Amino acid sequence: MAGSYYFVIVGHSDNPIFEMEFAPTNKEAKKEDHRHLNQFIAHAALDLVDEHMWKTNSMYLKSVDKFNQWFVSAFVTASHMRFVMVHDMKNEEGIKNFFMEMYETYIKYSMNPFYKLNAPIKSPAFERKAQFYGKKYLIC
Amino acid sequence: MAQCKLTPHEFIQNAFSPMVSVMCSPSVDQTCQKNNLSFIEMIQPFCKINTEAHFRDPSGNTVTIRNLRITMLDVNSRPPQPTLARKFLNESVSLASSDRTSALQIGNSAVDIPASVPWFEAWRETFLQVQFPSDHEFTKHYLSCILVVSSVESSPADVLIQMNQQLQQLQNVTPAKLPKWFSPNVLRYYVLLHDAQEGGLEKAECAFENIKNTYGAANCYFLQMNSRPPGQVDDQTHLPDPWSQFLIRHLDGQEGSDHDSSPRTPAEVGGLTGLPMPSRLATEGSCDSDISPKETELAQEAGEGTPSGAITVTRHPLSPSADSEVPGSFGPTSERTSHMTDTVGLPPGHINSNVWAGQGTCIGGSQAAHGACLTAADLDRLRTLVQDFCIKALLPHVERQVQQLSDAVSNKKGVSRSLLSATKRWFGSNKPGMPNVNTPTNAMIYASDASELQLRRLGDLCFMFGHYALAFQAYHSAKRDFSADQAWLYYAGALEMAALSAFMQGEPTRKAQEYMEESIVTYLNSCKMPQFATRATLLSTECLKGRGLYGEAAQQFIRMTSEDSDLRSALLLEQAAYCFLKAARPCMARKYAFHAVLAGHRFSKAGQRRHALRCYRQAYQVYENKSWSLAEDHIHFTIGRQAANLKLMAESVKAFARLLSPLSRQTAAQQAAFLREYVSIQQQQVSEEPLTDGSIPELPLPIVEQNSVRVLVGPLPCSTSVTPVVGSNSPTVPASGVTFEDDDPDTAKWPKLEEMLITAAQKQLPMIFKPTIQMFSNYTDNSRNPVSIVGEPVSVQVKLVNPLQVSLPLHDLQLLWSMRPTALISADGSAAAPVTPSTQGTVEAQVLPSLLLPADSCQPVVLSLTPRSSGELHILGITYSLSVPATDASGPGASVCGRQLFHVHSRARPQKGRKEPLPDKRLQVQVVPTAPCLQVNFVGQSSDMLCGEVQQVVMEFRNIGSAPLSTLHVASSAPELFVFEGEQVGSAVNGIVHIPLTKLAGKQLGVGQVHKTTFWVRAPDVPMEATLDLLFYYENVVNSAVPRYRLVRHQWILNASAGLQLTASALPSCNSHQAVTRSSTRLLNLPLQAKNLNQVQDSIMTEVSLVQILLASTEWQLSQQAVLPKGVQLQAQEKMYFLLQASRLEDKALVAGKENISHLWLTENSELQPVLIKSPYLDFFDRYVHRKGCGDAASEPSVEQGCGEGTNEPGLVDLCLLVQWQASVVIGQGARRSAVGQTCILVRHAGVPASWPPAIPQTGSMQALSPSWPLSSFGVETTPALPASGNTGERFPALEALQKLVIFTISHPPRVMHDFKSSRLCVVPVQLLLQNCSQQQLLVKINTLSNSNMQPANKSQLYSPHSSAAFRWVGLAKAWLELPGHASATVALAAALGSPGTFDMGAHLEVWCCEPGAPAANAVSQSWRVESALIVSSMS
Repeated sequence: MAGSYYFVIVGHSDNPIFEMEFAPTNKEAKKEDHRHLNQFIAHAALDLVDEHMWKTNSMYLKSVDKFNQWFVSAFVTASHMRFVMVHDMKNEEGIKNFFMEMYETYIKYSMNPFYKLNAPIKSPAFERKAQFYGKKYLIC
Repeated sequence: MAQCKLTPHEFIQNAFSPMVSVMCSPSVDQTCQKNNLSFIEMIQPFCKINTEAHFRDPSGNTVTIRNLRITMLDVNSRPPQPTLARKFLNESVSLASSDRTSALQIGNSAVDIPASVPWFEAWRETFLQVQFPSDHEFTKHYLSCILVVSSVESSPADVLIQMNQQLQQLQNVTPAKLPKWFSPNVLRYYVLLHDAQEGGLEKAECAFENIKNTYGAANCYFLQMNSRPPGQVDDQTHLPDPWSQFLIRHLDGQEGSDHDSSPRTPAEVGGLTGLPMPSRLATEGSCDSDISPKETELAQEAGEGTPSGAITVTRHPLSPSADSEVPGSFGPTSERTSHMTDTVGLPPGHINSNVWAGQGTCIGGSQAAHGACLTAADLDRLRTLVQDFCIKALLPHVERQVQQLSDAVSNKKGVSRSLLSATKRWFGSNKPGMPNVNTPTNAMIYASDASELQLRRLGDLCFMFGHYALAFQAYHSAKRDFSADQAWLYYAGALEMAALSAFMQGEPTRKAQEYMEESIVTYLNSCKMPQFATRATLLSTECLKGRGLYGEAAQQFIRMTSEDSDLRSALLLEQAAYCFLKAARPCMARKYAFHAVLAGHRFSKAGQRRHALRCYRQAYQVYENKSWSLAEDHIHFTIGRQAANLKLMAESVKAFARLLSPLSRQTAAQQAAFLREYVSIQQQQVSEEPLTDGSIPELPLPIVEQNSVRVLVGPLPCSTSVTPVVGSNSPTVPASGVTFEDDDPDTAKWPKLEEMLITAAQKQLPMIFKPTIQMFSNYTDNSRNPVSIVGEPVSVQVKLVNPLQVSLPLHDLQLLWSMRPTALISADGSAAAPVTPSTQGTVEAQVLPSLLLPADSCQPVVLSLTPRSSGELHILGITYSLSVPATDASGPGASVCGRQLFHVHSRARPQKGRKEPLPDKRLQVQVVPTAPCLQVNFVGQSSDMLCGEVQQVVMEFRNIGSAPLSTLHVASSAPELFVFEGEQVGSAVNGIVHIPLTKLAGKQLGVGQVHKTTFWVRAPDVPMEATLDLLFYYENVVNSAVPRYRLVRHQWILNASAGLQLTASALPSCNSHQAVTRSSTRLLNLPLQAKNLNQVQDSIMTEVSLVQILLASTEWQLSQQAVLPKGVQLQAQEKMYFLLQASRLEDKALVAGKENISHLWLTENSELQPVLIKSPYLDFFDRYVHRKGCGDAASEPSVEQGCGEGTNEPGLVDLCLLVQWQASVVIGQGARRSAVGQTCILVRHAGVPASWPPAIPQTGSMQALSPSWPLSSFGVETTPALPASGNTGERFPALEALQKLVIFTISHPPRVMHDFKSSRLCVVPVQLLLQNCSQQQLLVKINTLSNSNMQPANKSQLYSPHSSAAFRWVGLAKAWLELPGHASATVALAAALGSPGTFDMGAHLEVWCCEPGAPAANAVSQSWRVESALIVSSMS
């Protein structure tokens, strides 16, 4: 069974600039109630992300935090954008791959001269990509 | 910041203070009651001795004890039962609060946190107090018992003996029950209480002597009290009441009164934290599902029994389903039922019927009476009692006990390792927390005198009296024993105490920290005794915080949060949050915020609303402005709910308003729920605490687009009453006026027309022309106030945006205004109070009864005000009531009345040198008392016309204002499209027409008077959508009135569809017979083609029949000789040809510049005839010709010559053909109308075909030709050349034209008989007739000797056999003659023919012409060709 995932890109002033949830189709019902919780967990984990990112050379920080049954994995880009994933199942490889692909997508997106750094990403193409990689690596 | 009052050392020391029980005789209680205190309460403030005390340890070292505190409790007192204990805990938290906050700067944001946490400390203390003493530790067991008797008794000694026996019984009860005793031989201390008021001091002293003798002097005390006579109660009031702080917690022991009556009991609160359906944002504990976990908590916190099922399940703390899924996991039923009976036996406390009612009542009520009979000396005696007890009795006792215990321990050292425990050690697991081990977790129970417990006893005793080194040793060895025996509870207790001893010793090690960790884990997992784990955590975290290990402390706090107790979890989570803030690593504000939210959530579940609200508020400071919208929504919702419950309506409303933000990402259903909630809270606020100034609240929805606010003064076109003209079925159209839709910021046409009108009407342009603005928007110059007239509406358009995904029903929308009447302004400047809607009926506001804003939409709303008196009208905003969208069943939902204010800002840039933008005055309307108001109606206006159609329209002017008007003018940007009745031809050239009001009295239109005038409109020639802009201007008859003049706009959109196309050319003709007979007559052949341009696929079908053809020219008139098919109807795309002939007027009839109009009827229908020749048709014709001339003149200098002088250009005919027609137009389903129109065509040059309208209208040229092109009459726009006008673009006349200057014909007998035998040559006289077609004098050269080869021979090929050119001109071969303009001349020639046959007499004949005086080389050969055959027959 695949777990549920919540992915967020966090900007420099702790503001979410892109959010997406991935859930296996069969358990949609309970999802709604936890939407705000994902945000709380992801936001709280930023303290630990900020701490962990100085301790390693790699961008993927693996699991940085845990709250009850939820794990928080993170990825920090070169420009210190933080990718945070809240998930309830271990899936280190998948999340890593997802982060790498999203990193590439994000870089391409941020090359757009009309995109302002730290501004919310509202692009259907970006969303489609995220959805695609989410399907590919997370909800296999 | 969030500091505790006590240091960790003090706290731990207090937590383990020695316990002393007190047994009082009933008379003692009576004595103490005089002070409104029990004995225990009375002595409580003095239980701490301030002097140093000493005792010796077994090795003989002296141990110094500072600040020894003992805890005295009634021997009959029991820890409160779970229900009560829980209530105490709740109360301790709810009563304590701290308003002081300290700000902490984290990064860019500041966080306010409470300066102290009294609620946590109070709870902690209560928590430690309500614990039941356990068998595995001795710190809570009574070390000693004080027996108190009163001297009132007849024999105190006897009473003491009785009490001793009672005590003995209590100690010997098996199985051991409460109270628990530290050791079998507890210290007994005897106190004789003497009430000074009762007297009999000697007797009492005597009795005391007796007691002293019996029990030893060191163990007895004579306590004299109540020295103050009753009634003398003055001098102590200023002293602080020493009892007050100890009595707070001694509250109600009575149950039952509060659960039902008080709305704020915890169980009822549970349901309040949840969100409304359908998605519950916060967790929802419905009331019934609350009960089981609450019971669990009761049992556990009080430490009685171990609920078997209450294993903490990992669950989301904010999870909505957590509560309901915990099964009934409370302790045995018998225990629960006994709660009620036990509570009855409690010592009577101060009864407070409602524990939640706040601290004020309970303290305030009892405070005054405390210690009323006690003097300072009495208090000193009490103090001495405790000190004597401790130093003279207790410490020696403790010293003996320590000695005894350490002896026992060292003696039994070898033996203690029993065989049983040894085997266990070999076979059993040596680690706690192994669930697979078969041994029941708490199976190992020692007898109370077991040797293993002696070590623990020793440790506890040492610990309590501050000998931490020895205590640590004892605990350490005890721990090993317990571990070996798998007595996990004992083991955990020993570990806990060992760790604390290490800390208290001042040498905390890593090891000690691990001990504590293991202790907590063991308590929690192996023993399932969370109450001890909690206690250990509380102690441990103090140690960790004392050492600065905040992160670890936070971890421990968080571990102790579980589903079984909301209150505990909340408090611990909050503490954890503060620990995150204090963490040595860069402080973890985000963790803090999260845990504050969790704590707030748990507080709300535990019914601690005030704390819940505080926690959420604190957390929001971190989440603010970070756009974690769902999280923020949760916080706002909870704040709103909690604030509403605490009656903080303003805050609640604010929080709910924030929920309705446009950035909300909630679902539609959720938004609807938020909206409902908001509306009901807002309603409550309005009903409970109405705003002080009587105004209504500002609502967050819908959003007013502030800069879209537009103000329109004057009547709205749609609101004017349309009165159809009696007896006419043609539609009456009111002037379109100014509407909110006319918001094209770039249109300058109206101001330009206005400027022209002012210039024309006032004969001068004002110094500074400021166009009248009727509609004030974001683009207009709003530095002037709008001016409105009493009785005329002021309309405001505002865009309302609904960002939500649910529709918003609004009701009773109207404008909010204030009015300052003129009378007040004139009286005292501007300081008069404005009139508000409630006071007077000075303004009539239009009310929009209901409006439904669909989800996610922006809707413009027009509201109007009608002032009824003059003054200054300020439009402030809108008021409306916002309702909840009606759900299917519930009918109309609740609604709340609110308002929104306008804040408009001018977008106009400030002038140079001025910093502040210009004030925007569009909402401050100046209302003037009287002005005329013109209403213009158009009768018979229709928008669909054929090209060139002419319609008659009646204009109806009605003065609906309050003053007469005069000087009516109208201006238009397309004057060629209309003609007024009686208008002078050419007067409307600049687009301004003065409409005379001569028929009316005083040349003015009085109030209510109506004036009618007729005008005709002709549709443009090109199919297009033309706009006819009419701007009416009128003046107030009073010159000084404001406004001086007013305007009415009308915009008439004409949709011209394809009509008739004319193609014509003028061909010079030369009739030889006529030429001979009437030598001076010249003729033009005019082939005319008319085509119905209507396409078959067009939406309308037209059927055109021509009525009349007119020719307008200065020189030509139509001759009646024409081919005129009559009564022909042209269907779509059909063509009809006419051949007309025009003859030149006699010279004497020619008047320079005057046009002659001749016409031909094409129809027998004569009723139209008298009409069509008159105005307006000729006016339109004039206008057409005029425009053509001017338009061409602007772009074509060469033609200008021809137009102006006419003579210079050869070949110019310059005639205008006008075709009047009737058409029957089929519009859709059988409906038809008839139309009358006219089409003109200008034929300039002879031989050049002209066509109008252009056959293939190109987009560019069409626009350029557009008659309605604004202001084209000013010559700004260039009109390109007409396609048929022979455009060479040079100064010289075209060669083609020069070749047609002269026409000529020959006349000769058609048939000649000649006898060639008699004469070889036949000579035929030929007359050459020359006609000068130009007005110029020409030098004509006739050449008969031209080479025949030069003649174009192709024409002759048509004849078969070819007519021959084999002849020669004889006689005059070449001639020069001068020919004046329009003159003709005849030259006699002779042709010589040598044989019979047919001869082409045109051969060899050439005519050249040039200007007189020009060199001969300039002569141009005329292209005219004579076709004339001569047949020569031979007579033989």
